[in-house]
Amino acid sequence: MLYVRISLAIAAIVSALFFPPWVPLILIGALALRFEALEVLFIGLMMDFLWLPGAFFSPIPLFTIAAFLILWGLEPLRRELFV
Amino acid sequence: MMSLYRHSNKNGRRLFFAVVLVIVIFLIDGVSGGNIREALRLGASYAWGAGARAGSALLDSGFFSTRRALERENQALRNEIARLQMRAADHEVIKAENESLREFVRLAESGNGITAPIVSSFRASPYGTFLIGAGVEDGVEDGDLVVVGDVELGGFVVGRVEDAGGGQSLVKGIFAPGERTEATIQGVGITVEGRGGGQARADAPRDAVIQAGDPVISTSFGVRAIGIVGRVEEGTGGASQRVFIQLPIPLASLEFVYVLIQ
Repeated sequence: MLYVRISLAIAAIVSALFFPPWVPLILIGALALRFEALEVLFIGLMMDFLWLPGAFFSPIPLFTIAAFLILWGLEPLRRELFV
Repeated sequence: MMSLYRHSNKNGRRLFFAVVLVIVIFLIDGVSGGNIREALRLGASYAWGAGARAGSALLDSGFFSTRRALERENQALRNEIARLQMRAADHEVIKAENESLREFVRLAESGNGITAPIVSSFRASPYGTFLIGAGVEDGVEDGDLVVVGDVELGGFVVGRVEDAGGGQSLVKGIFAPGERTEATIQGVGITVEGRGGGQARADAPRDAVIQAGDPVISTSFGVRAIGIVGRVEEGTGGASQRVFIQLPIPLASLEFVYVLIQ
């Protein structure tokens, strides 16, 4: 299972560089649904550091916020299905 | 039940600390003048370059030879179409310019500029941004215009430098999703709204004579062209017509851009 988790995380990081934003978003969702994957937050942060102009939350770092919402929102479902 | 509660509580604490850590990283990056994001972007541009080289080597290896030959021919034809479209659009721009406009363009052309490679994907950014391989070390600053096409004729502005780093800069596309720009088509003032992927749209008065191929000029970008009209859609009974705007060259086919240094 650790291999699956690492593979998904690496795929999300690579897709953040090469593929449209919905690809890492789906991979982040898969990670958050199957694992208690706090790395999802840092992948969102990486997306914003890479592509978002400006600093100090201006403009709003949408991908980091989306990663947090996915992680937090899918937690009850993950506990119901996989714990 | 108690065990589930403890488990949930532990998860909540971990998530809280992770969020705090993310905020701290944001703050450190802000205080350090964007050092973390600059290092990440440098790494990303290397990764993009390595990925592009690996992809090219794989395609040139002969493994996909038949497909490759067709793709090459397809690409050559697309480039030819893009080149012709660019020339036609440039021609339209010249026709549309009056004397005072030419004066402005001459002033803008006299500015310095450098050619910079594009070092990231156009489609990966959720914010309509992309990376170019030139930064403060090359004289690039925030606010510099990024142009494609024949710069002697004014070219087409595709974006503006938003975050100039040491060796690379982040450019925000004019047609980034939700981005609004004031512009004119045949002297009619419009507000162009970006749709991403080098596409935009605007609403113009119904009686304005606008047709496909007309240049879209923006005073916000030194009285330069930002695109051409691709299609005009007249609704029934409305007071306006919808204008679809595009760049004369597909963004994905671009390898280099020209940065006008202020």
